[in-house]
Order: sequence, then structure tokens, then C-alpha cells
Amino acid sequence: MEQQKICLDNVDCIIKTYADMLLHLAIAKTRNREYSEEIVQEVFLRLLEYDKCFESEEHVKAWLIRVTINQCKKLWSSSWYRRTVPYTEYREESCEMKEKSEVYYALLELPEKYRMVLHLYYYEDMSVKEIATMLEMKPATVETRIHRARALLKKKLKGEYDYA
Amino acid sequence: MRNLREEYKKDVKKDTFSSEELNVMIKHVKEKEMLQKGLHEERVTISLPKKTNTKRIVTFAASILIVCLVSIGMLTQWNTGRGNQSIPGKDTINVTEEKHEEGQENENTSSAVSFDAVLIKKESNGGYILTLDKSQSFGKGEIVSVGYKKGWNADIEEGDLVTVFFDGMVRESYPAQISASKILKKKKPEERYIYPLETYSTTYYYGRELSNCSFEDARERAYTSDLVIIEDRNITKDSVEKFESFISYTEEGIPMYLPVIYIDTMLQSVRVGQYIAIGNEIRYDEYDWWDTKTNHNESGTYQNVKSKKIGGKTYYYIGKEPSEEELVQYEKGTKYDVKFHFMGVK
Repeated sequence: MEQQKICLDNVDCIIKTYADMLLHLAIAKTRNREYSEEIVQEVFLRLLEYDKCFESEEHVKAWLIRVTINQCKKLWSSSWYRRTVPYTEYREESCEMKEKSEVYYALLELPEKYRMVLHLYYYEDMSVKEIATMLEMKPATVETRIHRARALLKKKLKGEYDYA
Repeated sequence: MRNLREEYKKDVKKDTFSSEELNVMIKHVKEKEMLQKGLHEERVTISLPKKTNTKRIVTFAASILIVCLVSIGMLTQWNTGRGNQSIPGKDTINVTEEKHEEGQENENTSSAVSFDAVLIKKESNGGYILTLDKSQSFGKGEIVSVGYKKGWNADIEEGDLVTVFFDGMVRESYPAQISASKILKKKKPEERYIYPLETYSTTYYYGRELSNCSFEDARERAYTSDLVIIEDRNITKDSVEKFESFISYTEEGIPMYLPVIYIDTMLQSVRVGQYIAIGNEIRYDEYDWWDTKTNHNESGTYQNVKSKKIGGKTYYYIGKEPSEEELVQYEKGTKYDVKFHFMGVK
């Protein structure tokens, strides 16, 4: 694939392809749909401002995931967010809107660093190495987090699951 | 046995953008990008105008004529004793002429630009201030480095509301720098002691077992919910300006005395929002504010944590040094003792 720069002509395609993926990632991180929508929009705005060329589709995807995580961190670091996102409320609203399984809620109740790793591992089907690169951490750390997150999930979940 | 991966995927996929939402987002992103491009092109057009020689000569002559007319006009006004009035139609810098407390220096300040701010750090030849409202030179809630060779009045302390006069020149650095010609303390409205009658909101942000962490690691860990305790309280009092001081404790049990700048007016609220103790040392703090007018969150950092040793214990604080009595009182008191000093209710 030739090196390409994102511009107004091809941004439609990019948004349609990746919007949902980024929304899921942002929800896993922030546990709030409204904030996540804003974050996704902000990420696409940044994409248009990005000067450099992308080498491949994978490069675009990796860049979008990285920027989404950074945007979530930025939001998380603000005390406004910390004081205005009670998870219980989100859960109640979410329950009313669309019924989800105990797995989903158990995973959302995990600490943020475990949520992120598990989301990328289970939903994005990324390998430990890929997650490590994405989150800028050692593969051993990712493995430990996955292991600990699974242990926490096992405590929370009533049903029997295959955790692979 | 059910497959956890498949169940999770199935649930996650229930949260999607509708096609309508996607179209709105695409439209919004494009509009914003085009607007930015448009502004950029406009700037280029303005900075590189195509002019013929004749046009340049005419423009130059017209400029000289305008300058002469303005000068004559000002001279006439000065002669007739109306020197302090602005010239109608001329785009002048907004000059604030406020009457200050009696006993303060009576200098001619009408030629200076002035704005109100909170003094957050006092140094020998200046300090740092936080702007309160949008002015010609600054936005709301900006940190500005102020040079003040004249020296501070003894009655001005960190946390005070001040009016800063300067020549209008802002040096483009971060934070922005100005040289103040005069800094006057603003008269405070009567103070009210309100706690515990009214509640407020704040977030306590602690790091656990941070003794062996690097600063970067501690900061990273502070973003993760499993390593911090978060306690929230709700604001029940709207539209007030206040400064609060409170004692907090790290997970290691180190008390932190923290005078906090908290400005909660119709326009904005400012407060220190995050502190991390690493072992026996506070290494980082962050303040942020929510601008209720633009509905946007802003944040910044500064490192100005001082310490004081009393009876073998080290106390940390930001801003004005607390007295021994205050610290001991806070140590004996409840964990979340808070004293509000109301600056007035708008």
C-alpha cells in the first residue's frame, strides 16, 4: 500500500470503518457512552490535523487506538470527569437501553488497566506483543495483567467460562 | 462451558454509532477542518496582499494622514483637559479604572492595561498569577508569570485577589510573561465560615505503595483506578468564589496541608485536583478548572510544594505557610476538615 495522508476526501471511509471500534475502546476505558462519543470525534479531528503519512491500514488503526487511549487518559486526568461519572449510573442507564451479559459488566467493573488489556485481547484479538507495543509496556506486564484480570473475573462471574 | 471472548464481543457490539450519528460526526469533522483551513488561507491572504506600487504609495500617504489627524485630535483633547477620555471610534485597549482601597499608592494608572487575578506564587521580583476573566491580553484561568521589580506590598499574600497593571506587552512564552507596573490588592468581601453547613466537591487522589516508584510510574499509576482512592462530594453552592484550605492524607499517612484555589463563579471554577506522594515527598500536583461558559475543561500543572518539619513529622503544603497550631489542629481533627473563606457570592 502506498503511503497516504488522510484528507477530507477519504475521511468518510476512515470514520465509517473505525468509529465503532474506537467507541468500544473508549467505553471500555471511560465506561461512559457520551464521553466516548466526544472522544471518538476528537480523535478523528486529530487525524485530519495529522501531517505525516500512514504506511498501511494497520498503521492507521494503531494510530487511532493510541490517540483514543491518550484522549481517554486526558479525560480521566480531569477532576471534572472523576467527579461526574458515577459508574453505577452508567450501568443503570446502559441496562435500560440494551441488555448485556454478566461478562460485560464484570469486565467493566475491573480496574482500568485490566479493562484496557482485556478489551484489546478479547475484542480486538490482539496478541500480547501487539498490546504491549500499543500500550508501551513490556509483554511480561501485559501477561501479568491478563492473568490477574482473569483471576478477578473468575471471582466475579457465576457461570463457567472458557477464558482463552 | 461458554466462551468468554465471544460473549464479550457480542455485548460490546451492541454499542454502535447509528448511521445518522455517523453522518453527523462526518459532517462535523469536515466542517471543523474546512473552517480551520479557511482561517489559515485567510491569514495567508492578509499577510501577503498583492499591491501595485501606486496602491502602496496611496496607502502609505493615507496612513500618515490618519496618524496626523489622530495626533491632532489627542493634542486638542489634552489641551481642553479631556486627556483621559478615549477617542471615539478608535480601537483602544480597554482601560480599567477602578477605585482601590484607601491608603494605597495614588499613581497614574490610566495609561496601563489592567486585569484581575489571583496571586498563586509570590517571588522576590514577581511571581505567578491566575487570570480570572477574559481580557484583551489573556483568556480566563491562564497562568501568567509577572515580573514586578517594584516589590510586593507587605499586605499581598498568595491566594489574594489582585489587580495587575502593565504596559500591554505580553511576551510569548509558557507561561506568558508580563512586567507589571503596579499590583494592588483587591478589597475582599466579608469572609464567611460555612463548613460543615454546606458541602462541596473534591477528589482525593492517592497513590498506594509509591515509595519505590519513579515519578513517571507514579503518575501513570495514578491514572488507573485500582491504585487510587477517589472520594467525591457534591457542590451544593453555586456561583461562589472561594479559597479553601484543607488537610489530606496520603496512603502512607502523611498529612498534606493544601490551601486550594477554588474559584467557582458564573464563569469558571479552579482548584488543585491531584497530588501524588512518593514516599515522603509530594512530586506532582495538577490543578484544573471547568469553564462553565464554554463547557470545556482546562488543566495545567505547577510544582510549588513546600514542606515544614514539626516534631519529627514533615508536613507538605502549597502556597501560604500554615502555622504550627493550624497543622497540629488539622492533625488531631477529622480527615476532611475543611475551612472555606468565601470571597463573596455573585
